[in-house]
Amino acid sequence: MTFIDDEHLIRRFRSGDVSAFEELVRAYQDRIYNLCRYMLRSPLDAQDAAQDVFLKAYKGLEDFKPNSSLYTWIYRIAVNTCLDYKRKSRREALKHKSLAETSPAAEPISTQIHNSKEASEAIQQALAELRENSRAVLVLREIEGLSYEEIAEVLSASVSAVKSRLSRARQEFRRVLRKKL
Amino acid sequence: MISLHVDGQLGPMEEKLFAEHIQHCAACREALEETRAVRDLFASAGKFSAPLGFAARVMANIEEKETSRFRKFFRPGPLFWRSAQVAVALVVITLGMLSGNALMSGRGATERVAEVRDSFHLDVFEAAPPNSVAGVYLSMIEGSHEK
Repeated sequence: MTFIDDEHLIRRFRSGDVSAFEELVRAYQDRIYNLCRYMLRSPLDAQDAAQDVFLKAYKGLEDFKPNSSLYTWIYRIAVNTCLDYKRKSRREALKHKSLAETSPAAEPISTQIHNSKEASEAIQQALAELRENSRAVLVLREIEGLSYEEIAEVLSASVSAVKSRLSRARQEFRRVLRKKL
Repeated sequence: MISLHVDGQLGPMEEKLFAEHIQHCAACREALEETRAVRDLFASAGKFSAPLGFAARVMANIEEKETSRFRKFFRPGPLFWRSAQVAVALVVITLGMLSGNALMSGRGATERVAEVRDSFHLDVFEAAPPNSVAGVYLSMIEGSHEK
């Protein structure tokens, strides 16, 4: 799945056309921001992380090898940036707060989900309690709609590893939802 | 297997076996229902759009980082100022030489050079030109001899 002509854009960027990069940002900003929101939950964190993703993409685009798609490359940067963000904020929280305060708040999820906003909120609450790898694979599959092969490229894993990770992530998500409802 | 079934990733034989198993296994039936419910929940979830002005902020961020990287690399220090002084001196000298050449070339430089050379002409096999140093000297000597 590609949104823009990757090769042409990369050629333009490497010849010094910075507007090519701005086109890339505009093409991917919604998807990347959406992924960051579901991975990090907080809108401010998601904005910061998404900005970081594109800064890293800018620095790395010169050396990008065309053996993977630009699309999965950017998603890989996004997932790794969100995972780093989470680890960093957990370390910061541990430094300044007690352990009890660093656990994710156990908020109950309403059994009545009436609209997409409530569904998003319920999903974000449940995702926040999953292990990082489970969260990443679920967001990529269920939210972003990537194929198994694309997820494998993003996570630098085999397709069979993705299948078993996804199966475990879904079980974990169901367990969390059951606890909260 | 439930996960693969929900994603339509089972082959025909596997689907057949799965369907048979589901009929007899309540726990798997329940897990399948829950997994489908989770899929529906995800499918009904909204998608977030990037905030207004996001792309412009990214590009501004990039420009700022590029500018500060350039300034960091090219920060004028003592070595810079010393080198600048030397460069300015060289430029002034070069300009002076070029303008001197230009002046000379405008006023018959070849003739002037020849005049200067001739004024020191001391070739014993040729008569010294009368207005050369040698010519003047010789005329003085001849004059004194005649006396």
